[in-house]
Amino acid sequence: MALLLSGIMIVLLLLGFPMLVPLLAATVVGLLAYFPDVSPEVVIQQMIGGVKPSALIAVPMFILAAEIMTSGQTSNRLLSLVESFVGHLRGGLAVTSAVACTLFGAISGSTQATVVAIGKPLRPRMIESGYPDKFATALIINASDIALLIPPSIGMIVYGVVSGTSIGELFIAGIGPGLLILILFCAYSVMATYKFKVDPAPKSSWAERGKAFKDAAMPLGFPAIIIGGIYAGFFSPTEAAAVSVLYAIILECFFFRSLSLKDLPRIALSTGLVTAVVFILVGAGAAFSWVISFAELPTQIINDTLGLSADSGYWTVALTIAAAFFIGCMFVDPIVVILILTPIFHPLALAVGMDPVLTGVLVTLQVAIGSATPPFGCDIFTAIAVFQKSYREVIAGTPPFVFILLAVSFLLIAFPQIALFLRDLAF
Amino acid sequence: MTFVEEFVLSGGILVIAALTIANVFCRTFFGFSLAFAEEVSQFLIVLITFVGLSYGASQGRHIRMTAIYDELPQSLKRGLTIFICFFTSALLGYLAWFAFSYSQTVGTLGTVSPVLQLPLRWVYLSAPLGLGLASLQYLLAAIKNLSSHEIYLAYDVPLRREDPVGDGI
Repeated sequence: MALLLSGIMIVLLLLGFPMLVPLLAATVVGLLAYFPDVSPEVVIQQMIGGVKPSALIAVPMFILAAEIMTSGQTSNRLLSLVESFVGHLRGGLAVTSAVACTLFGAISGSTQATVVAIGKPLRPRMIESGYPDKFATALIINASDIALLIPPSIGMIVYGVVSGTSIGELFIAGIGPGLLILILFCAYSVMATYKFKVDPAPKSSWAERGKAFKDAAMPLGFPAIIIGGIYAGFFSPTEAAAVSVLYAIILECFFFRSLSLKDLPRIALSTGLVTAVVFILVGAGAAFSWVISFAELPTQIINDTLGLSADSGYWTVALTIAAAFFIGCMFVDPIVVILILTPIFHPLALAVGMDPVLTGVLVTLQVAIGSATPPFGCDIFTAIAVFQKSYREVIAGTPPFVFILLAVSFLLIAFPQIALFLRDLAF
Repeated sequence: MTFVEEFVLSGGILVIAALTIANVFCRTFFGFSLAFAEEVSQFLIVLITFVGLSYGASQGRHIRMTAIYDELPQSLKRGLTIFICFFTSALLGYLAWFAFSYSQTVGTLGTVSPVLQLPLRWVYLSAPLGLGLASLQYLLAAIKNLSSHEIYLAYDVPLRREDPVGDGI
């Protein structure tokens, strides 16, 4: 049964079917083959149930806030701020890219939005000042992963809903590993720059830095609203998301005057389409999960196929989870991987005593890494489309970054406090 | 049809944002919550998901993994596209049928939403509607591909030749 269903999924997926088809086809086949007495109406019931949890409403709200800010000036102001402080140092533009990706991650929850918002303006400038193309491209794709760990994070929202883990706690716990990756990427960038002939950017005066800081002060209010608001108990993550939408509108339409209110319906349409395309997968994933749980496949996969149980020990289970999510995301969209694999592995993680928040951060980190890893990580395809480069050129520089990310995964498993200390401090 | 779909998607997102913000304001400043806000938002998300399914199909925007597809020669790619469109159309049409019967089942049970007492069947009708229209979109795309030498992702959306995905390998 497990073989049949995964066979259907893999074949349809590789043939290039829209991703909802492999999910729905496997669901329908599983239902008809094993539960012929159950009406397929249940598939629809599960799909609707899958998209309905009110915590998921945070997803379109964070997408809308990010789209408003990308259409306006927010991302450019953040870029100028970071550059005015570190641009003149060795590897300055590389460090600027990494830091800007992290900062943008703090206002948007998706890696792909970050590739577009930061990569588009910065990559040509890095290449102009002497960085090799493959280094610049790989840095941007991989640094965008940090956006998935730094709150808000769409991956964490979906994981939180599926596993019943507090989204607020997940958000806070993602900050530690996100910053650790940022530091390691900056260190690697500075070291790598010794090999390249790079023209350093001119050093900014303190007056220029002051101006850049003033320009970026209001965009920097986003992390304060999101993290501060949730942590202080003012809002739920969904409400924090809606308040960031309001904040984005006030900034871009009234302070920066880069957008007019008339632009909002157009931006909302694009948000609606992106939301629907993701949510139909969330619904289909929920239906699929329901069928495999009904057939008791998760227990079979865990106990018989993988030979794991509550006695397997922390390291075995943590490494298996890491490997499963990482490999899954090398092929499929992260949301789909989280939806399908979380119900399979979550009970096992609980059984060996893993903190659900730690599991969530580990899962988010793995799907972030997988999305930027060949052969089919979806960020690679975003980069191909955005930068107009071939597949081979885009992946050429990724190995050192993937290596650093995998090292961070090991560190996270060995020292869970990297993620949990902020959570323990806050909650 | 496209206009209606665009209106629902764009309006739905803006109404959810407005309701959620209004709820935070009422609770913080006036000490009461808008109980219907969350319920309406959930309805709108269901509506956006299924209307967007059909709109996404008509714009050729559903997420696909095209790494292998892009490497195929034009003739094979066209044949595969026709197969994908017919198969997808059939599957979605099949589900649309059960979605309709599900909304009828819910209707017979007379289930209403907890706060607004709105009959859930009206909300759930968006599922057969969206699935049915999406099925139609894929059928149209299949016919278009059959009658043309170019490849179309959707009836009005040709697979762009300048699309960089897969070029240059």
